[in-house]
Amino acid sequence: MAAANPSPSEQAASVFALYGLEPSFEIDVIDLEDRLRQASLAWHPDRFALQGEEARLKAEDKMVDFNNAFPMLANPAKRAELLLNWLGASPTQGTDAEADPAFLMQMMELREEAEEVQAAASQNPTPALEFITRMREAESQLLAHFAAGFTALSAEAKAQAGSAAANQEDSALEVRALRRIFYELRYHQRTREQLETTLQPGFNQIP
Amino acid sequence: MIELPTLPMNDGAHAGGPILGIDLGTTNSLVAIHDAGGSRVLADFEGRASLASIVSYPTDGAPVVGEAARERARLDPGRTVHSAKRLIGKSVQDLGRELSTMPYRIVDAPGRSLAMIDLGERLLSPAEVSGQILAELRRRAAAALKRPLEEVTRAVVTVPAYFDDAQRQATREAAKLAGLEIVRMVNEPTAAALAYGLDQDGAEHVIVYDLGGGTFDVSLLQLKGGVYRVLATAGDTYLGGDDFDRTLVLHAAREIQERSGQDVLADPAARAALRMAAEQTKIALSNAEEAELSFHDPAKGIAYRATINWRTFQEAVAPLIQRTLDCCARVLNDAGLSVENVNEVVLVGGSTRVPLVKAAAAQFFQRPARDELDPEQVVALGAAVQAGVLGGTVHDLLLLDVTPLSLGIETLGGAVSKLIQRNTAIPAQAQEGFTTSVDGQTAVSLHVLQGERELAADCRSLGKFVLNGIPPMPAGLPQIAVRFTLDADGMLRVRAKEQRSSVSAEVEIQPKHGLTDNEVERMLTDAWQHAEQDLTTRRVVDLRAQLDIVVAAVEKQRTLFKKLEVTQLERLEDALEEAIDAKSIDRPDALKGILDALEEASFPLAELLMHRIASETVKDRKVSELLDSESSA
Repeated sequence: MAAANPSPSEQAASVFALYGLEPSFEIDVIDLEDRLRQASLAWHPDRFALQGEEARLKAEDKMVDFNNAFPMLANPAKRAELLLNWLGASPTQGTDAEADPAFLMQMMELREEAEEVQAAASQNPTPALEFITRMREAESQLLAHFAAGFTALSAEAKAQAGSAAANQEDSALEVRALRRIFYELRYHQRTREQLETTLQPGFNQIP
Repeated sequence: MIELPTLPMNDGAHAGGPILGIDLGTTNSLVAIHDAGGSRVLADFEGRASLASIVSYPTDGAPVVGEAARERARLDPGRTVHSAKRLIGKSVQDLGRELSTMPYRIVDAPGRSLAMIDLGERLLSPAEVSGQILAELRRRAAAALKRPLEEVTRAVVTVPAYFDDAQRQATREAAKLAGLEIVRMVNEPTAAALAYGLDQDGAEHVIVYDLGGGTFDVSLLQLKGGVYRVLATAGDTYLGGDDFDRTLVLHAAREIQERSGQDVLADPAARAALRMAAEQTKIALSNAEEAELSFHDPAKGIAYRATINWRTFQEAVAPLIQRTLDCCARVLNDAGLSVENVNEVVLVGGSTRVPLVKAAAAQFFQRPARDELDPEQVVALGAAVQAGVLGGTVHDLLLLDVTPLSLGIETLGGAVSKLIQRNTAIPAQAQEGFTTSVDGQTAVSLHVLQGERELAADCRSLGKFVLNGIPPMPAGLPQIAVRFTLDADGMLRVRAKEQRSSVSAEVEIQPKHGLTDNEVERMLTDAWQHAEQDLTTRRVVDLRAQLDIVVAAVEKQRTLFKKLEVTQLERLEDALEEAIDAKSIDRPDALKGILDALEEASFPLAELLMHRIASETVKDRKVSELLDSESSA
């Protein structure tokens, strides 16, 4: 990472570029895995075991970049976050979605329900398991919304023959909507994961 | 397009002699080599492939390794060390209930949190024991390859996937003691997958179920185009065939107690003998409905004989087997796959010979498990394949592994901030920002942790280090970037840097759980030339000098003592007193312990001092000035 302080948008673009890809929500994971294999065969430090410290460390750095980038591209939720960064709408900055009272209310209700099914789980785990299934369904639906929204946005940008950034004014609303979907997705995911760890204590208790 | 390297890769030129493939096991160890004929295990001159991982230390003469040491186990249990791998890189506290089953005495090394074996006249580290085993394998390989010993200096050594950083560090040190450089550490289950060469068969998702003498590991791999990519791994470092034996030992001991009122477990020699009898019974139960467990001790008047039937044994070990299956469920869950996705199941480790284990694995994965390669040799053979990859004799094959345990930093209130999650592909790197909590703070203490639990106290501590030299700033202003780098061996480097100030403070640590370079140096001398008195004397002189310096430094700040909390003050006074009394001590270990204790006890004092200096500096400058210097930095 030689560039001096690249912006989150530039950083996101470079994650795609590392794998020879354009920023897009549509990623074929099998193809991505093939690219990882190709990169590993070229850059894994084991390929330079006898080439001295310098070559090995350079390879290690390169391999670290590929390894770090892989889950960001392969995991749909992380990919959504990456694309928001690319659009200059980093989900860690700005709080408009959290300030939306309807959204807050909805999320609070979700949490309350999670706490209820969790408390009851020792007697009857069925509601908790049903809740988890419902969360997973909601998550994939939110991802589908995100994908559709992002695709429409980039098609629009292409039609206007400019980059997403050049049409900032026009697309600002759509980007905000995408970010709102992402927050909702992340909230569902966290609520579910929290419940899962409490239901399966063994999963979290490795010595 | 993906950028490709312009550097030459490994080309098969054997510049530094052969690279051995070594399986350093809990009960048995093996050495293998990969050459034109493929991978093969190197046997000793009597044709034995495996070396018992036992070292005996006679009071007179050199240590004895292997079968000869096993024979001495009965004779001299207190000086015969088996299962050193269970102790390596661990503290007495880590070992817990396991302590009672070891016939030799285990103590904490003074001033350090690593378990040592007490031989009476000296303390023996588990790394030294493993070092003896590795040295024996090295000699064996040199003889088999008809090479001078000096040319046999490099090895790929396997470790359980679940070994933490301290255990890996200690294994590396053991190799150093044996005159071997570990060019790569490979996780055992992954090595086994390499030995099977399953990518030729078109299997895409492979489970390696590895139940050894002392540890259980399970890994899920994706195989494609010669690349072995580990997707997830899980395991239990306290579960193995020895635990099966233990259920039988405890069963017999209970019955003996009932019949004769004698506690055989209290006597190390009897315990060792009973353990061996139990192992025989377990093996016999592999092919028979029932087997005998007998134990005689004429001196105590014990003649115990019992018939253990298969069903009793099954009931006793069922909970142990269930624990292995829980781990299997966890790897599938972590990789987001289910049982139906698994194309192949490979069994590794001597304990998978137990038919109950084989059946349980096959049932869980709904397919017959493969075990055509000798489960005791398969790991060493795989290590040799990896040695071939590194040496350039094996082409078009690559192993991509993951870290089994999450790594993080302790944050305020004893929580853990995880930088690298378990099952992250390695090599890996992660960075996170931290800041100070007190105005003018010039030092932060960073506590590096490994494990899945949420609280620092429940995770494995890999070491604490202090980042000094931060210019005084209001709380929350400093930006301390902590960077973790995990190399392809799964070894951690930590680096911390304050980024706001023009003064860059930086530390690079090796977690200090392992041995210091001085200690390794001492052991090397011990191992090859027995007691080297000169070195000890020099260390004693060095340590005494260091003690004097610290004592003087602490005494100088006596005026600050009253600001310490009562417990802190008591600890400091105790440590000081001990340090002053240490003049007559001439054991470096003991001196080092006293020095460490004093340094630790004086830490609160150092903090007080730093705060005072820091606040004085800040007082003299205006806040705006401070901020200006920040933004220009």
